[in-house]
Amino acid sequence: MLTGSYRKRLEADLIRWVHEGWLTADGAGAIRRDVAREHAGFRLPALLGLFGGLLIASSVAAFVAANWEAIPRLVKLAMILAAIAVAFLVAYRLQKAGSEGGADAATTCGVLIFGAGLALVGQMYHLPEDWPGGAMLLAIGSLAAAFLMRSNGALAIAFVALCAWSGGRWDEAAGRTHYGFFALYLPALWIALSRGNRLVHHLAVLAAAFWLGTAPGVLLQHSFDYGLLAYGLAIAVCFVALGALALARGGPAVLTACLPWGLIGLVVALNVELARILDAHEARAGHAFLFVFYAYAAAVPLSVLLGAVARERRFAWPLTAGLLLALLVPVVFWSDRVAGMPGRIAVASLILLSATALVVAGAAGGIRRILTAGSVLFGVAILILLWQTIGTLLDQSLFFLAAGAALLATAWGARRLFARLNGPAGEAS
Amino acid sequence: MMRSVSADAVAAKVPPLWRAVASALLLIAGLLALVQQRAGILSHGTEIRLRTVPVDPRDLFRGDYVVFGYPISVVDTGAGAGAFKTGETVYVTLGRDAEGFARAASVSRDWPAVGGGAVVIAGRVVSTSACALDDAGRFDCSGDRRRLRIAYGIESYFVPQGEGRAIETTDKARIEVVVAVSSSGEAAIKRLLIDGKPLYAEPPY
Repeated sequence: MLTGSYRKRLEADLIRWVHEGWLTADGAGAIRRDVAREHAGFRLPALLGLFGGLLIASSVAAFVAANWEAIPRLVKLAMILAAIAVAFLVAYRLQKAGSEGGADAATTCGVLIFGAGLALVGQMYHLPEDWPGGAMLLAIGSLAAAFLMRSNGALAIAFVALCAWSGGRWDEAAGRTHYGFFALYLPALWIALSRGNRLVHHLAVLAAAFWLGTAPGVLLQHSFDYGLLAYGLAIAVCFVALGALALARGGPAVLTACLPWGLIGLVVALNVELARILDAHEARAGHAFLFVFYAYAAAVPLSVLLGAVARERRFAWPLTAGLLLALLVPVVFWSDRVAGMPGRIAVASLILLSATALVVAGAAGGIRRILTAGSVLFGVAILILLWQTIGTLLDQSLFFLAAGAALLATAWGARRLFARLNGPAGEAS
Repeated sequence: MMRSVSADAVAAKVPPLWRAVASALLLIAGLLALVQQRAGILSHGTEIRLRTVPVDPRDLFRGDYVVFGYPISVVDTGAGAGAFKTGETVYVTLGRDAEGFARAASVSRDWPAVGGGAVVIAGRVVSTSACALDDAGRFDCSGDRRRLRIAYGIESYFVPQGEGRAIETTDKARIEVVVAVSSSGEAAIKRLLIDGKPLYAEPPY
């Protein structure tokens, strides 16, 4: 996969390498040609085609919305059916001509027109109340098109539509967990597993996160409880562990898309936990409801598994440590020591340690996302600590002094630490 | 092994033309089936008459529509009916009042065992603590609150852009809706009448 940033870096490197005499100008030219050939399938026409298709589909949707009576509704329906047929015919022709991207754009357009058709039928028979039902039909239609036409655009629509359907049903049922979600999610995931498209991977992960977010719905809808924060934290840890496992063991590309979303969730949840333990009103334990136990029952083994099976230990072990430390934060809240100084010091230390572990893991494994997440977690945590002090400013100063000294000691010993972690099996600790 | 179960590998076994034709036919057939199902209710369903309460106008994506409330939108569960949950499907057995308008006679979770004459309409529980509408169309929130608010899928009616306001401002006592109910309880609006005169009539197609 060649990204624009890679090509820019390569170009800069090629100039430098030729200048240093490590590479001949001919060699550099050959590399440039090779890269250009690999990137020849640049999708500009397909991209413009996709935008054009989206505009046409929007035009159909607005036409339906206008409810224009000059055209009988059966004619409108026939026009929509014909437009669907034309879209798939174009998709077939483009696929045959070798333009996968163009075929994808045409299929996406066809699926969107199908959505407009559903809206028209809803209008003909006065069915706007059941929009989740419409979203479900759109999800089924786009799934079929995504599978048959191997379209990424249709699959992306399917993921969005199935979330709308599930969310709508969840809302109608006043927050009861909607298990029907999986009837469409699992086939969609199966199709996504065979795709190399990152948008599809991220949507697959986000749809799973959406369902996990709505699962403890009765609590979400009626009253906020800090147990939800622990639940979110454990889910984020699961996502990070899954993403890191996929990176470390070469797992499915879909799973690697879990990593950034898990890291975002982790940073947000930990910083909220830190801000609230320093606040006299908010520093109270959440209710540990069943879903928190489920999430922990998945998060702890996954984190341990990551440390146990990853090929590169100097990356996996600090990450496992960071995740387990993060999981300990809600445990501090559930202990009796929440309000007092020990609870504050414990939470702040756990979060700073966790951030440091993430930075170490990211730096050692060369994974910039983890490094960035660790740095952001660390930086924001320091800001929160400066804003809402642990105790008096003197206590705060003492805490920073101790934490800083500990970090400096770690940095000083880092070379030896890395050397040991890189050593033969069994020596690492 | 991974490849053999991969979705794209499975799809690739079928020639592209067939796949394109199958996709288009599937989506087209889906829309036609939906139309046929609704048309079936309109042409074969049992007609019932309902008094209305218009509520509010406009759907951003689909032009104007009017929202109706009906006396059968709020149903008393009575004692011993068990606790109903929001979102579940219920079946309401309808009777007629002196003027021939439908009234809710009973509500149950399962299809009720009724005689040939009674009409049963299926709905979804929207809320379990609704205020009842009395005969004058006012909300009555007194008494115990074991009343269900039920949606039957006949709560909205699309009108050409700009005409929603006119219906909305009409006195609700003058508006009457004729609904077709299929043998499985699905309902569709068939006619809209003002002062007994048809304003809109829905053809099946």
